[in-house]
Order: sequence, then structure tokens, then C-alpha cells
Amino acid sequence: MEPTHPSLLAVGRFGLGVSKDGPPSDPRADVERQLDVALPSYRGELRDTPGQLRTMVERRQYQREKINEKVAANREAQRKGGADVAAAGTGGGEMAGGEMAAGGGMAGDGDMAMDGGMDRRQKRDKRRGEFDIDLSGVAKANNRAEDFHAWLEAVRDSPCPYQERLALYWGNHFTVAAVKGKVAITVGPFQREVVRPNVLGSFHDMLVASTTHPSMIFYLDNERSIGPKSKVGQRGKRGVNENLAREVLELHSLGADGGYTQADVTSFAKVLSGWTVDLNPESDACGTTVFKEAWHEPGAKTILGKRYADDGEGQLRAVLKDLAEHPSTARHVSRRFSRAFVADDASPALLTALERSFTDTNGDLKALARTLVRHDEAWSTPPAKLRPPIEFVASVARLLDATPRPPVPYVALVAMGQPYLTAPSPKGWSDDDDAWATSDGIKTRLDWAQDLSARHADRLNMKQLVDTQLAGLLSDETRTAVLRGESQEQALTLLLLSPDFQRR
Amino acid sequence: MTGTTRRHFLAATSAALFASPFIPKAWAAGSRDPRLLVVILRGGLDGLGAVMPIGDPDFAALRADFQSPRLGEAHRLDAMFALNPSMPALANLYDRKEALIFHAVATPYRARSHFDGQEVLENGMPKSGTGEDSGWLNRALAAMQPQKGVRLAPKRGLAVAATTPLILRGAAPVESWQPQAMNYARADTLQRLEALYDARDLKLAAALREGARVDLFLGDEPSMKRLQQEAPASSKGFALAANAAARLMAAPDGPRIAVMNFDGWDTHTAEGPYDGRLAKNLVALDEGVTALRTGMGPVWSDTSVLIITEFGRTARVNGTKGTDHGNGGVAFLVGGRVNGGRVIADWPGLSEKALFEDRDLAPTTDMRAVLKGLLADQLDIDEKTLGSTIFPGSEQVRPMRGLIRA
Repeated sequence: MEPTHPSLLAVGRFGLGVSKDGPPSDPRADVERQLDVALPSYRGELRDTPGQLRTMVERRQYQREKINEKVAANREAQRKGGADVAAAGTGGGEMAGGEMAAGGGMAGDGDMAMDGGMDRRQKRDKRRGEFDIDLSGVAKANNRAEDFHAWLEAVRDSPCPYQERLALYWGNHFTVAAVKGKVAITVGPFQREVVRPNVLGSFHDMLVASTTHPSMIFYLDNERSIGPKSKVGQRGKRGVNENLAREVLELHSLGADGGYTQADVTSFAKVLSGWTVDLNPESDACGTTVFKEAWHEPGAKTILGKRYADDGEGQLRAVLKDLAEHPSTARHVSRRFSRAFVADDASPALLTALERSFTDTNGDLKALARTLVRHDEAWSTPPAKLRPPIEFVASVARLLDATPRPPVPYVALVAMGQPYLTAPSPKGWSDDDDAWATSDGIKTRLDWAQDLSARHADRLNMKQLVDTQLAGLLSDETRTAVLRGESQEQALTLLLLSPDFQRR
Repeated sequence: MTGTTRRHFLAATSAALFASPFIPKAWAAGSRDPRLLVVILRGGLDGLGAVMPIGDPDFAALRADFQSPRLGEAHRLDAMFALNPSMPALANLYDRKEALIFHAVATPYRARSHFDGQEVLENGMPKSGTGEDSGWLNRALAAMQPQKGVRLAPKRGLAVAATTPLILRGAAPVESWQPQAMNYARADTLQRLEALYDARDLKLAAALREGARVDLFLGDEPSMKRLQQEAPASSKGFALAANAAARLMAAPDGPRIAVMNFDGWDTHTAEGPYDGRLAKNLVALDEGVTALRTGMGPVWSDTSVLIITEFGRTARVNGTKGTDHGNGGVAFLVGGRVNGGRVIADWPGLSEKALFEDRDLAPTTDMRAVLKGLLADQLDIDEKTLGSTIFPGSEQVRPMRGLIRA
């Protein structure tokens, strides 16, 4: 079998592996047809972003109230002259109840060790821990494992794996990573609210949704970016944070060589000042992004030579519209897109085709996806890229039509070096051909495959699997190695690690 | 059964795996056998928070928002500088003259993007966006000449990470390692897969062989179990990972050149240099240095550990009690042969006029001078190669010699 066999590319380059239904009969048409299917949402109940943040805030509020009750009780006891009453909480004596109540749920959650600054708020949190409040009956935000396993369920029998791949791609383009508290509980909702609804929509809409999503605002530190000349800034609480502005320009739109300067970053940061997240539990807007005029740097700003009038929230929308339409954005997006799906060095012809599609359709992502599928180069370039761990896990789940374990896929992902929605930087996971071909990575894939094969191989007939579900997808060498396996278990392990299964 | 224990695995395959082509056949008598480990602090370490120029008249005012009683515990390094109190082990090494500190140092990169900054730090080019996809450390590895008196053990690098960072990518072979929590594949399955890869995919074949070898070597130390719970590049996992890396490097046929990541230095908010988030990171780094020293054992005497970051941070504190991306920062070099006990800095001052673009500590030492000096001293790489192959376009940047004791 040739490595550019259309069936292999349909389930590899454009998919998440073969499902229980086997390879498509007309690969190119099948992939294109997938773009006309509605992307299914996850089954089961997962909170949205406001739900997640509200749950976190309310949990903290409950804790605060209980602590204040204990502090009050302590004080009462001390007044009565008890000598050893401080036992309920070592920090109790120095803690002002008023300060606690005014705190407003802003600090990191207990399980959010990465956000470990010991500022005033966090010291307070630490003291809270010393009071040992029972929180077992209080609702807790969904964690990422729940989110990941709901995703895995959805892709397992998805009728449109190409769209799922596109969702992974755009989720990586607009990376939010669970590196600190409030981001960690919103990265999952971000995929459902920003990426999936727009995966075949317009780039502009996704850019706006991403830039103004609470998870992105937390991740790139815009939460408390306050213009120095704003109403609040003039009272001394000043400070514009440039992080979000820089990454939107460098990674999300124009690209590092897109022609902007430090002055543009600074101006854009001022445009973004005041875009924050409401975390007041009494507010109807709790858990949503709000524009605080009083934090926003007033006045016109100039970005890439164009002047943007002082227009409140409209200023950001005007800038994002121009960024989405900028030629550098079309080029940056096309380069990264072709690199992720085809090869590190896509031909100028493919790049031009993608760039033109993006420009001509005003950033229509469905058109972009279709342009890629229709381009011959996407069907003639041999698979050079190793499946990233998340695609490997999904491909195993689809092949087996089951959740592969042990260990559970969420843990396996961590071991294989791609913890769910925790990319090492805002740049996201690498798309390079060999990024995942590391010794530790490959060995860990093997170890995991063996562990799960022990559980799943029993119910399989490997010969049948190879000759029907995987018909035409395996090289002779792989087929031989698998069929000569000394056990079903070993045969499955070898199949999952074969180059035909690993590369796309 | 699935859970082939490591012992069985060892008994079955150790001979084959350790019959390694990397074990050199003969050493020149009396030659050195140096180790070089590079730790990359990703996110941009606040150099002014780590190594404080308390002798500079403008320092206190710039950092007034970072006051802390712990500041008084800072370790005096010389008339100008004091070391952050979170780093007692480094202070101790400094006093023993096994630690060097470079201040107001920076790569040639002058803008403020993490990714471009790390690119230049790692690929060693004079500017970002060159597209160079190999790292200076890999090129140094490739350039090492075994006959020059430096004994060259396994000529391959080690990346303590799931994926190889740019600094170590390139032509010279590299293995990666990070702890994981699964049973090890059976030897028979391993061999069959190797045969399949040999027939179809040589890159995967090489990766798999290295992976199996490293797993085998580390064995099932109790600390490995704990490490499985923590990311090696996090403040919780760093010291454990550092110890494992050191043990790999100390082995007779282990890698001599390695790189580790330590993430989380991008302290835009609530930095807390003395008792907060930065302090916590510095404590973890300090514990990591101790773990390296312990793990290296006797070979510490010819080990250099270079600790670098993509850039420093703004001199002033921002509105969110943190600091933003800047330029001049610090680098550390520790190890048994390091000619230490010095802070090397051409101090630019911190007055408004002295700040770079009115915001950052001005860089006065080119990081490449440090790196070139280190590679010359530690790995015996000649100046011409350093200026052409390893740091292209750096002919004008003289290697800073004397960093390693002869």
C-alpha cells in the first residue's frame, strides 16, 4: 500500500482514524461531505463559562461566610477569657472580618497550585485553609478531565471527524492553557463557546469571540488592565498589561512578521484596557466579560498607522475587524494551517490557494477547509506528521469504539506529553513534523498501548479487524507483524504503534 | 499478564540494550569528561528580583511596591548585589566559589515577545525570525572534537521534556525523557515493534530504542513515583526531575549534554519576589540546584549548570503588582569547576536615563559572550567554530574566558 493512499489520508490527515464503520469508499468526497454535517455537541451536562465561574465564586463565598462565623465565635470566646480557644484557626486573631467580606471571589482556587502567588489575597486563602471548612456539600466547578472525556465521547462516533480536527486546530491557534486558576476551569468551555460554534464560520467572529472570552482575558492577563488616564487609573490604580495585545497580534492575527511594532502593541493594549470579567456574585453578569468604561484608557489610538476614535467598546471591535481583514493575517493563517495539516514546507501553490481563499471569502473558515481538501497537494504529500497524543487517543477510541484504558485517557495524555488544554505557551502545541517523535513520547505510547490492549484485545478478532475495518490502510510489513503477534493483545499493541497508525 | 515488572524486563533485555554503540572504545588517559546542563527559565525571569542591585541608589524606589521584611535576609554578594533570600543553596555555592552570576545580560533580541525571545536564546541567531530550526547546544554537541583532550562520552543530548526544545534540536542525536506512570512494554513486544520500525520508519525506530534505554536506566526509585505526579518543568516537579537528569548524566554512558525547562516565570501579576510567586519559583530552582549536585555525585567536579531565560522584565513594577517583558536580566552558572564567587556585570545603572527605552534594565553584556566562553572552556570548542557555526554572526562578540577553572 502506498503511503498516499486516499483512504489512509482521509482518516489520517483529515480525520481521527478509522471508526467501526471502516474506511470511506470515496475518500475525497467523503471528507468534503463532512463539512456539510452539523458538528455535534457533547452529550451530558457541563457548565458554561459563567456557570463555572459562578460556581467557583459561590463556593468561595460560602467558605468566607463560614470562616467569618468561626472568627466571630473565636472572638466571643476570647472575650470570655478562654485561654486555648485559638485552636479553631491560627490565623483567626489577625483576620479582619470586614476584609474577608470585601474580598470578592478573585483569588485562585484550592487546586490551582500553578497560580501560587502569595499576595494578600492568597495569604487569605491560605488562612482559610487553616479553618478547615467542610465544602463537601458545595457545588464545585467541572474539571478538565470531565471535559476531555465528554469530548472523547463526541469524537468516538463523530460523523464529521474532519470538523473535529479543525476544532482541535483552531483551539490551538487560539490557545488558552490551564496554567492558572480561573483559566483552568474555563479552557473547556472556551472550546465549546468560541471554537466549535465558529469552526466553519468566519475567522473574524472567532477572533472576536476569543479575544473577549473570559478564559482568554484571564490567560493573557487582561483581567486588571487599567488605563493610566482612565477614571480609575487616575486614582492611582494604574497599569496596562500588554500580554493579550501582543499575542493577538503575534499569534492570533498578523503573525510575528506581520509588520507591527512595539508602539502598536502598546496602543492595542490601551484599546483592550477595561475589558475584564465580572466576578461579583450579586451581579447578573457574574462570570461574563464586561467592558468597564472607568478602566478604559480614553482617547483615540493609532494602530498600524490607522487612527481609531474613542468609541468605548466599539474601539476594540473596529480594531479586530481590521486585523481579521489584514493581508498579514491571511498569510499567517494559511502558513500555519497548511503546516498543521500537510507538511512543514507546503508548496507556494498550496499557500497561495489558501491565502486567496481566505482573502476572497473574507475569512470564511468553511471555504478554507474546503480549499485544503480540494487541493491535490493535500492528497499527494505522504504522511510526515506523527499524530499528536490527543489524536492518537481519539483514533484508538474510534478504532475500538470504546474508551481506551487503563489508565484513563486523560492521564495517558499527560504521560504522553500533551496534558489536555495545557499547551506550554500561548503559541500552542507544535505543528512540526517531528515535534512528537521523541524517545520518551514513543516509548510512552507503547507502554500505554500495551496496558489498554490487555483490557480491550479479548473481544477483538485481530484478523478480521485487519482485513475489514482496516482494509487497505496497512502496509504489508505492518499487516504481517500484527498477524504474527503471539496474542491478540500483542497484535493490538503492534497495530496501534505501527507507522500506519501513528503518522498522518 | 500486563505488568511485567522492571526487574523481569531488566533480566530479559539489559544486555542487549546496554551493548550500546555510544560507549566509546578508548579514552585518552587523563582527559576530562565534562557535563553541561542548561536550564531554561521560560517566561522571563525578573533579574532585578533575583539578584538585587541594592547598592544602586535608584533600586529601592523602582521596586518600592515589592517591599518585604524578608528583603533583609538577602545574601550579600558584593558591594552592589544581593541574592534573593529564597536561594540559600546558590548563596552557599557562591561562597564556595562554585557559582557565577551575570547581570544586565541579554541575547541580541531587543523586542519583547516570549516566542521570539526564546527562539533567539535557543537557536543562537543574531535576530528572531531567521527560521533556523536547530539549537546552539545541538550544534555545539555536533562540533565537539573527541581528540582534543575532552573525553567525549555518548555524543547525544538529553531533553528532560516530552518534546525536544529548540535549543537541542538539530543534527546531533538527542533523546528525551520524562517520567510516566505506566507499566513498561514487554521485551518481546518491544523487539517486534523495533523490527517493524526498522523496516518502515527509521525515525521511530531510533526514538523507541532510546526511550527503552532511558527507562531501563532510571529504575524504579521511590522518587520517580512522586515525579510521576508532578510536571518536571513545574515548581513542584523541577527538583525531582533535576535529580533524575543528573543521575542519567552521571552514568558512565549517559548523556553529557542536557537541557531542562522550568516554566512559569512570566510574572505579570502578583509577582511577590521575596515571599510570593517568584520567591516560590526561586526556592524550587534552588532546590533543583541542590538536587543536581547530589545527583551528579563525584562528576559534579566537572559539571557546569547554566541557567538562562529569554529576557528580563521591566525595571518598574506595573499596575498589577508584577513586571512586564523587558530586556536586561541575569544568568547563572554553577558547578564544581566554575570559577565562581563573582557577579560579572558592566552595571548600567537604573536612573531614568539609564533604562533601556525608559523601561528595562539596559543590557550591557551579550549573552553570547557568556555562552561562547562557557563552550570554549567547558567543551574545548574553538573560537572560529563558535563564531561561525554555533553562533553565526557573532564574530565580533568575544568569548568571555575564565568562566571555568583550568
